Amino acid sequence: MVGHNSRVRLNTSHSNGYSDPPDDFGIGLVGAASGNVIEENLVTGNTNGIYIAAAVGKNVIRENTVVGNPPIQVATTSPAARALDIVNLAPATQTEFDRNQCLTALNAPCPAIAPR
Amino acid sequence: MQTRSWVVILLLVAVAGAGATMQGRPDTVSGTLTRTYTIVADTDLTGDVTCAVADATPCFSFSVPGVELRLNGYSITGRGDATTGCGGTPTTGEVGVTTNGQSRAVVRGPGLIQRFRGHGVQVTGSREARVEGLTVSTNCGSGIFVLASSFSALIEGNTTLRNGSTVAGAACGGI
Repeated sequence: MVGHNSRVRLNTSHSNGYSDPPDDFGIGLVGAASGNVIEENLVTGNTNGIYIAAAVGKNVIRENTVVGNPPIQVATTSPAARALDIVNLAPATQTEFDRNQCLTALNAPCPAIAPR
Repeated sequence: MQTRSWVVILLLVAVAGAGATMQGRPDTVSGTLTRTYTIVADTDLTGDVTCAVADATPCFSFSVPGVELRLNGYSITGRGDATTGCGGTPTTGEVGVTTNGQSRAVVRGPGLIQRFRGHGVQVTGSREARVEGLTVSTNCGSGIFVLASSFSALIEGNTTLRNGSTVAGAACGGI
């Protein structure tokens, strides 16, 4: 998603993405996407679960369940691939994370299995 | 004089009634499409749709604002391979549905959009578009893609599966 001020909610994303290059995702914020709310989605078994590119603006990621990304086969056959439940390449102040469930991440508050 | 007034009244009622009927009855579509289907009113799928449109053209394209495409449990299938989609290399513009710059365009499930060699649903140039209740699978690009020219979209209650591409620097996937 590159758009702005949009809501992505209550969706299920499974098994999306190729692992080479490992930048595909279940749900992604790319380009200069800003003002979006990603909430209450179930995101499993994708190359990356939620992917936030470097140049995006301020967005909110809350109350999502993001686990099992990538499938273990990807981690086995492509161990050098950086593929995780949440990959956040944006500056730390740009993305608000709140009460997500996840196990692996880059620059996001995971693991968090029983978020408060 | 009185007769003429009644004739005028009856004509007005008839014209108003015809207008109401045309507005109230949605367009319907099913079968094989060989040209892009242009959405000009609320539109219902009444059966599965197979898209055999030209390369790099959309299957469905909105051309007015504020109308819906309702899948009603049917499918829209593109020209990709059933197993591999496009094998990772997309065909730009060959999308299942594009909002085509129309605001308040709605694509409503339940229903399946699959095997397009571009995005499954492309929200472009639209304000307050809605994509709801779809299953979107095996498309090359993203299952549902909201472009930078779109604002205030609602993407809700969809299931996205096995979408993606191998183009470096063009990250994509489910939504």
